[in-house]
Amino acid sequence: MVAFLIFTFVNLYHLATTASLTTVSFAFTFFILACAVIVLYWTAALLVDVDWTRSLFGTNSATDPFFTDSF
Amino acid sequence: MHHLSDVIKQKSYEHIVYLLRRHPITFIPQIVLFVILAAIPVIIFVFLNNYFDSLFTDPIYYPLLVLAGSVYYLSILLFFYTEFIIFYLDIWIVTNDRIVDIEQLGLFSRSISELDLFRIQDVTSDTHGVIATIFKYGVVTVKTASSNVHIIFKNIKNPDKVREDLIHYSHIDRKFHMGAEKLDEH
Repeated sequence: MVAFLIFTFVNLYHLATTASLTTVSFAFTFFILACAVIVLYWTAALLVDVDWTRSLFGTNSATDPFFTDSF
Repeated sequence: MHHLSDVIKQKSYEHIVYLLRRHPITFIPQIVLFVILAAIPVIIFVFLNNYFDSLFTDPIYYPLLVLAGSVYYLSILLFFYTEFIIFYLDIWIVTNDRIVDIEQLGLFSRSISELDLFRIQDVTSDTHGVIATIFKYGVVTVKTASSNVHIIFKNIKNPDKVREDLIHYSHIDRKFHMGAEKLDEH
């Protein structure tokens, strides 16, 4: 996300320094930023019910590669 | 914010005749590529939903898949924006005194060339292909007496009109410079 913002600002800087802030470049930039907002919104919406406190390798999880049955 | 006059360091007697960019239709391949890249996660989702639907209820794999998809979409958006910048910032500025060729080769790579109009020896316009003929775009090549310096206008609109105007303005500029040289001699 940080890299996306940095490179977006670099692109906007190029547009500004070459006198290319036109209707076309504005419309395209708006489209890109709108798509980015939509991606982030749907990411948040799809992950709203995720339990982030759960350990990646839970003690009872079948996905735990280190899980062993206790004797 | 920069104005065009600042970009080319416009002189007092100079006025801009043409500000040319590539024809918009030549950006369509990049748009098609973007659409294909954007469709890939959808195809993968349909495949996984049909054959591995347990992944979407798994507490570990589901958030990882969503995050991976999010990172992928942000990456292709950035790639697409960068491709637009490289396309849009290829600019050719023709004034009554010179030609300025600004080519954005990459995000951190730009080439700027200048050529005085009176040095122009030959101007050639090329239009190749059905799409180029229908939408009237093509390549204009400007050559000087020196074999090292020439400027190529890539995929611009109305290349024939640009060629005619370049020849016309180069004649006017050559007369101006010849007149100035004669004044210097006297």
